[in-house]
Amino acid sequence: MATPCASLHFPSSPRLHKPSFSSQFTPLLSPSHLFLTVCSRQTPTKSTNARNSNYTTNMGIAYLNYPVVVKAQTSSSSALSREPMLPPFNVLITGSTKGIGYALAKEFLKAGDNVIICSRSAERVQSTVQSLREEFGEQRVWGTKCDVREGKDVKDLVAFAQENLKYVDIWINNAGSNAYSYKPLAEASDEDLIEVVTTNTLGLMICCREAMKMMLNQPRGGHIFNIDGAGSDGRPTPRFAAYGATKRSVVHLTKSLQAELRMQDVQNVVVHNLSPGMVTTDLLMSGATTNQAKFFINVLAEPAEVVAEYLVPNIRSIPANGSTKPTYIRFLTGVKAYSQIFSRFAFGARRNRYLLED
Amino acid sequence: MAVIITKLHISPQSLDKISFEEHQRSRSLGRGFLSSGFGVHKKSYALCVQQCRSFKSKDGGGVEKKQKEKFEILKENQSKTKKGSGFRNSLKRAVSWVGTLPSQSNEEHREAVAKLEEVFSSAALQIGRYIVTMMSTGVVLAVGFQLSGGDSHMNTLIWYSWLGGIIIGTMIGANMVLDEHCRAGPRNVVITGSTRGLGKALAREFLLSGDHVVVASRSPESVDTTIRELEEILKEGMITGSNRTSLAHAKVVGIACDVCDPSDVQKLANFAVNEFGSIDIWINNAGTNKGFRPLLQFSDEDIKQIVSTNLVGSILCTQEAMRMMMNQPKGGHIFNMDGAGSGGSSTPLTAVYGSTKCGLRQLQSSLLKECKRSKVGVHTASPGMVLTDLLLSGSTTKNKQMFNIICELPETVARTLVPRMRVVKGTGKAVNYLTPPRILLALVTAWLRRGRWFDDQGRALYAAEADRLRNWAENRAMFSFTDAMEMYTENTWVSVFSLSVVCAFIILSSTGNTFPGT
Repeated sequence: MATPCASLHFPSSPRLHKPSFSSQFTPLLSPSHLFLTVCSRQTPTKSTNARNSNYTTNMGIAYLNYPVVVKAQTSSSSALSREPMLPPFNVLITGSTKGIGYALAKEFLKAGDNVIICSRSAERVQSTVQSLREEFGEQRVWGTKCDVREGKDVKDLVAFAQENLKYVDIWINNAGSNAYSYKPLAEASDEDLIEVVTTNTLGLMICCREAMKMMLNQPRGGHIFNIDGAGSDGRPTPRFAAYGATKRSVVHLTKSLQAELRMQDVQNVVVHNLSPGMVTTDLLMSGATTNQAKFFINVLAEPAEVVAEYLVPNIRSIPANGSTKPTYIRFLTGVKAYSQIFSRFAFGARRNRYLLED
Repeated sequence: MAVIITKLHISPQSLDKISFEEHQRSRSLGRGFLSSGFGVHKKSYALCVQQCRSFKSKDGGGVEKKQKEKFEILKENQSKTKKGSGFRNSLKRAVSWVGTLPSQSNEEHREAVAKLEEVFSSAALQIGRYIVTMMSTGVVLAVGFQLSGGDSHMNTLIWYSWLGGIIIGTMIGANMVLDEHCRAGPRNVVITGSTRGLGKALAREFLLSGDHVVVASRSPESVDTTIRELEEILKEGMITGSNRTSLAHAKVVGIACDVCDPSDVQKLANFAVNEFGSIDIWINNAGTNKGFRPLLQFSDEDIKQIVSTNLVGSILCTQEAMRMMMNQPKGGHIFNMDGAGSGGSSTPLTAVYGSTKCGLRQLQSSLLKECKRSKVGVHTASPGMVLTDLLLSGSTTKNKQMFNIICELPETVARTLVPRMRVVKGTGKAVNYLTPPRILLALVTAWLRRGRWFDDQGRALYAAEADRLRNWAENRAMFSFTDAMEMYTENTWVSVFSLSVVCAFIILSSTGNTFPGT
């Protein structure tokens, strides 16, 4: 149970039928969106009032199309004058003592941001904070113990963040688990299954809720990133069925939350998806037992540092541009995956890159 | 067993017919021969009727006479070429019983004989029916032909089409018999979360189909009351229902089980196996929603319950069921319930529920790959929208107007789902209630459906469950066209179509050239 949070990032790509842009547009086509427009039309007086009072102070163009319905939880934030988000950003990453979370934290620090890290084990948080502080200085990085599955822990995490940084601009839900086991479902142990589901789904939902709650009350608003994984594109994930199911539900949750926020006309909090593709963390490598898995790991996987180097500038550009559109940032896009598989077959590139193939 | 025998009998019979046809054609019959052929028809017709009678009259006869007759039948059957192993076993058993007659108690013997007799009489009935139908069509054709006094080309044409008709009829008939056979034996069914709503309706429907049902739910009290209610219904069904024999096997038991507790789930599986010996169908029906509101207003406890019931519960139950079924010689079938969000479209206000259901879809596709080579089938069942607490808690008046159009009572949905769940084969099947024809029907009749369940103020217009059940027995007997259409497997339609094409081709190629006037 003491296993750390890390994320298993399997191909969101080879034989991918959906090009990346489609997922960005699907929310616009969903019936809930239609339903929404009806909703907002029914409260014309409210919305015009809100428009008059609010938009003079704001960034303008982006908001013109959207009437704001004053809701209980948004009223406080819209009453405050909204501030544009400027770097340095305050970043919170869950499950960030190793793997992709750690690499992301390091990359954000390099870019000059402030970072809060957390994980289930207090000792690992201590040692990670220690080493990061040595590298980047005292007042840049903080850490606390947090088990994302516990509502109380997550609330404490929010309090900890507010105490040290006052606000959080970017919240990355990275904590994920596969219990480091790759087995058919019938052979998996009950504890493993419960751990996988509670960490990946329950933990993520609680984190999302707390993050939204916090960000709705921040003048700067905020961006939430949910990390997807194998199975989130709907392709079957035998040998880690439970993990795949949870990751598929992550993507679905993001979609639903986007629809909910649109329904409430919330502009300053945005939920995004983040797909790191396959990353050579322990989580992935523990499953490299079959030839097929080895092949795909060699061809498609990248070290966490490489992935973070690509993702962090992309993540940072979203608040920097003041964009409020939900996005799906992918490291391993379909084209990239195909070209890598092609070059492997054509030129034998990347053979035995991380693992010895037969 | 009846099936095997029927099939065996069918093939020689139709072969006879074919050879008869051959004779007729090759010799270019005159009137005299035709009439003699007619005679042959009559003879076998009479013979078969006799056979049937002999079977029916046996009940009154003494034991000795029965044995004699049985031996004759046995010999007769053994002379046919092939037999299914099950059939052979029963024959052997019967023979051994006869051999050791003095040492066995009379009671036991009579029981065994009665059982065997039942099998034979049902088989004979099927064969008799088949032969009678076939002969009568032949007779009608022959008579018609004689009266019209047509030419030889017409003659062959007609006999070909008759033959084609017989082949098609045989296939459809065999399919129906097979289906009936598939549907017969009592199945052992486990349904989680089956003390309310759809789960209860499913349990009731399975029970009335003559199955063994295990009811499971979190609270022991509600399990007890549900069992009592279901037994009551079963008793009523025994008195009034038409298929009493199948209801005699029906049985309902129950145990309290929290699906997100691994030890509880294990207990449930063991309980079911201890009670009934095996599990044929396991339905993961337990699910919860906790109302419609934004994620921010869900408490920790709510989220935890939804996730653990819907996702953890389904995973644990599926796992336990798979373990059990892998060790069973017959395998088994697992059904996971779909819900809003399964398709991948966003579900605002039920974000947690939707994403768990979406996750289940992923689980299903992964399991499909894992279970490819095992005897365990993993399926999904989609009830569509059902008027249960899960849907109605926290729904607005406007929603309810929409429910009028597309929603159904749990009993209606269960009535459609259960027969198809019972006969499901293979793996990866989707048993849906809201099929395209139904959706189309709902949309076309949307105007008529206003105020079906709820009036303008959103008050429920439909009766409470207890009242509904009172009227239910009559409704069950009613015939539904969509159900009937869907009951036939796709294969039947395909085979009928292709056969008729083949027949048409044969007819055209053999007669078309010499057909007068073309």
